[in-house]
Amino acid sequence: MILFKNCSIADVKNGRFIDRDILIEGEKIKEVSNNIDILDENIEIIDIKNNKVFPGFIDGHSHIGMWTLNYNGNDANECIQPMTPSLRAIDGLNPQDRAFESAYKAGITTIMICPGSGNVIGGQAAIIKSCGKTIEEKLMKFPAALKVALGENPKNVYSELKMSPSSRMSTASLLREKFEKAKLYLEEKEQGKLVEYDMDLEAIIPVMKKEIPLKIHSHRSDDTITGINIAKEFGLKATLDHCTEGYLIIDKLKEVNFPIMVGPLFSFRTKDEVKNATYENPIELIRNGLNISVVSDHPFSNCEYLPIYVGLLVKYGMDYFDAIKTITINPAMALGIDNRVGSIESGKDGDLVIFDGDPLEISTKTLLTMINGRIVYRANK
Amino acid sequence: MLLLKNGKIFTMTSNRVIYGDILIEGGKIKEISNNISNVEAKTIDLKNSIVMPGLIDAHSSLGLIENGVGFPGNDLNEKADNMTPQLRVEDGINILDKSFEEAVKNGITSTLICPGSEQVIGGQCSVFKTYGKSIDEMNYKNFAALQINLGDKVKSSNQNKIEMPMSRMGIAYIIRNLFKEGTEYIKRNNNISYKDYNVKYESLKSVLLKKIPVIFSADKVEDILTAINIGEEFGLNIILQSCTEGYLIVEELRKRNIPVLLGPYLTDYSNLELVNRSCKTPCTLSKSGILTCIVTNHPDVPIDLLTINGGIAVKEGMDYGEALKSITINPAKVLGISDKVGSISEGKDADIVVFNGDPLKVRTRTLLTIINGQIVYEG
Repeated sequence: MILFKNCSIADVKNGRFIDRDILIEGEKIKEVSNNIDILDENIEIIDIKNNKVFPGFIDGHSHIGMWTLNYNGNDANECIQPMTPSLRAIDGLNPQDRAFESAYKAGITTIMICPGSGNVIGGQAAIIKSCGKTIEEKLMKFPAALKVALGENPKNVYSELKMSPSSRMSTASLLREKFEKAKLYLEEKEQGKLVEYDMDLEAIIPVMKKEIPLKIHSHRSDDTITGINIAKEFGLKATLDHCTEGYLIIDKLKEVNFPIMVGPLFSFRTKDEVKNATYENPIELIRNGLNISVVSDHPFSNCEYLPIYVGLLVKYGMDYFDAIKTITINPAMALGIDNRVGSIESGKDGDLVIFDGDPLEISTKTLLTMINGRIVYRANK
Repeated sequence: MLLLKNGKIFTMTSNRVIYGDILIEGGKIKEISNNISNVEAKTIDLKNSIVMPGLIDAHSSLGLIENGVGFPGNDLNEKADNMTPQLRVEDGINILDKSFEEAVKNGITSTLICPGSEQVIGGQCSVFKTYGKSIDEMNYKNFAALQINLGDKVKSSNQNKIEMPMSRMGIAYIIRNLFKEGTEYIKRNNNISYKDYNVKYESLKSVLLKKIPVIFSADKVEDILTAINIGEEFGLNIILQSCTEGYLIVEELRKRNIPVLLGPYLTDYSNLELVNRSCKTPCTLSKSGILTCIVTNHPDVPIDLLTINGGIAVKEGMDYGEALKSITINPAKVLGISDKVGSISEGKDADIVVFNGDPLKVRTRTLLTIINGQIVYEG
């Protein structure tokens, strides 16, 4: 057991700091309350001296460990055919990529890793913790989402190969066709009719059953709407990732209320579909009451600086605790893991991070990171 | 005339903070002192906000690659030819690109604009002010440096061709070869007939005569040493950009007084050339007396994040004052424009930025950007 005394805890649900002690038992937070004192030699007591304690940060869209900028470093895209739902992000993951160490040192403890956006259906995403030497140690939830990409990327990849999709029409059509097949496949399976095992369609079943969401990559507002419409037609759950032009279609977004994952914010606008990228987009969306997460899209922006991107949103007008929510409770809810992470409450995973100041400021140093009740990083005194 | 009252002035000429007023006339700083009064001047009370000289990003490709366009807006690299010292950035810059506005909003008033990193000799870099109505008005110092790139990016951009260079040896060879031929060409003085006129050698003249420095972009120790060797063989003034592994050979840099343009530090560093990147490098090099600048290398990170890179250097141990110098007076010195910009001094260009707090903090906002005495942004 570990007892953290005198914590100034970020209560992300209520948007305030509260002074409490935190008791960790095994992998979980056992208790959060005033003045916990236990007379037991075996308990490790750490005095936090009123430093700030945050729930471990969550990066809801990343290719960490799957995609490095090395020669041959991309294991996130299998661009040989546009529909690859049975591919699994965890099979492309190097769990010992050194970016993980930078991530947990910066307080990022939970990450959704997903295939890239070169294919219309890229494959299955997973949720991992940033500590651990093997995939088994890291893994939190799999499958956790099905990655779907709209807009420029699949079209660019396959028009060069003289294949479909070479237009947005074809991307949408391929998706509808595949989902229609998956729907029929599932119906026949449930009716007990003998079906020929289809690995790709099997991978789509959890989406059809609404067990996991579609993770829809889109930048331009018309692409986001295409994604929303397809999800609605099949009655699916979805998150809208990037959603760079979301501020242009706020009514549509409010109507469906899908969680939105904005980012990366730190990179140059390299292509046409991101030309309207601004810091104001997530600020405007969160003002409208939507569930907004800020994501790194590592390696396209370095995930260790995720809190700094969020700090920039505060600079440009986002409420401080709204900003904190975009990397804690909001992504936890969006990814369906808010029963385990995203806030410091008893019963949740022992994922917390202690800073010597405001984590959204560059000069702030991490004092301690705990994941699954284990201290994985501690600054030298 | 413009009068800025009650500033907390970081002049960058000394570590001393001055509380006082600045009078601007004809685009220049006319006077800095306590209690200036001038009835004719437009007066702004800064209420003790922090005043700094306009920030300088000593290595960017601002406007050479446009936001949200892709290939049609990308004029960084003339990939068909590996050696193009004759190319000028001003012929490829779109001054209407959004990033100029974002630079101004974040207090960056000058930048050295350089060709990209995929050719061996990319071309001629020039210093630009970030605000103006025409390229000529903004062009502040033409051909301020020659851009040369070493290492993996050059190698890999050449892999689809069957020609030199395919290796680091090839890169060094073709640079030496061109410089040797250029040296011979110059010896012939002006006795060049139209048949022998060579635009590349003509462009190398001022470099070989040491009038203009060469910026070598190099990350790994081996590439940094190649740059130093070539520089010494031809008696060049060299500047090292990126210089990722420079902290491993500090003494080599220090004893030769080679200035460095470091950064950016916000990118992913999984690239093999960057695996040894340390955010402590600005601290280590500046402490040993090396003239140190911090740069964004826009579009590697967008130019508006220059101060955040400075903040990271401070977090990792760099002296606060040195970090501010690395984005003001140090780049002015390296680029040979310190007589005109880089500090708040009487007689210099009125390039001034006012912040509502510590300039290296994430949430600090720009209140005012002034370029050549003109208010170009008000927050």
